[in-house]
Amino acid sequence: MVTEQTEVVSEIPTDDAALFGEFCRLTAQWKEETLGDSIGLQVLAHPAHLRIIGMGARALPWILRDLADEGGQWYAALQAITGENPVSEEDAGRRPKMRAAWIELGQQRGWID
Amino acid sequence: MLPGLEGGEYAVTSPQTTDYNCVAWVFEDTERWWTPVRAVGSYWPTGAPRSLRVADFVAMFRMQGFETCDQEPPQAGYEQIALFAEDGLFTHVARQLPNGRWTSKLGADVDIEHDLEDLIRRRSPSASYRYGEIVGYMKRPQPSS
Repeated sequence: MVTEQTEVVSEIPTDDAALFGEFCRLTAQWKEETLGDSIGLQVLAHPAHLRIIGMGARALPWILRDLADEGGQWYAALQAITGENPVSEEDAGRRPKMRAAWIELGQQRGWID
Repeated sequence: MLPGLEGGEYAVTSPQTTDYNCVAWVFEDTERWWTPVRAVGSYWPTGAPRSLRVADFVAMFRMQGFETCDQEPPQAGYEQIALFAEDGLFTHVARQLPNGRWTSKLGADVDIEHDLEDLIRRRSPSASYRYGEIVGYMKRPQPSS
């Protein structure tokens, strides 16, 4: 039996300033609540992470800036949003090299300066 | 002060970084995140079982030369690790230092030097800092010896 859904799901903002504010709030929540996760499962499955992925390409510049400035576990989100993987097989899993490869791709595509 | 570690006699020994985790830190690998979770940006040894069960982590560490043991004082030429778990699932691993204390990388946070008691059943407000109980020890000859 299907019951009426009463939960209110907030929509992703369409205004860039509001969207950036939402991105910052979700990023802070995601990092804080998964900081001690030794395995990385909570990092991937955290609702804030999934919601940022749901922002799509509009979030790319902010993700790449955060990756450049703070590090961060953005690789699944970047690959999910772009459908690309600029990391060579040799460098797969080596995070400093993965970070550099994504930033270089972002600069080539004009996603970040 | 790390959440849940209030009162612990620990010392922060590295900056915060997402480049490596506790399993990588066992091998002093500061560039990779070792996890059986199939995720972009992670590493797991080829052929090692991919699950969070403690037995499968033990199997992975065996592949790297470790054998199960009782808790032992530091022994020249050997390195010892302590495995943490909750409900049968791996949560954390710490490596013993020559001075008898332990070193841990806390997820995406910092490395700390600590006593084992500091990490057991911490009442952290963050679930990601709760590492449960020690479920076993393993040791291996130091690779350079």
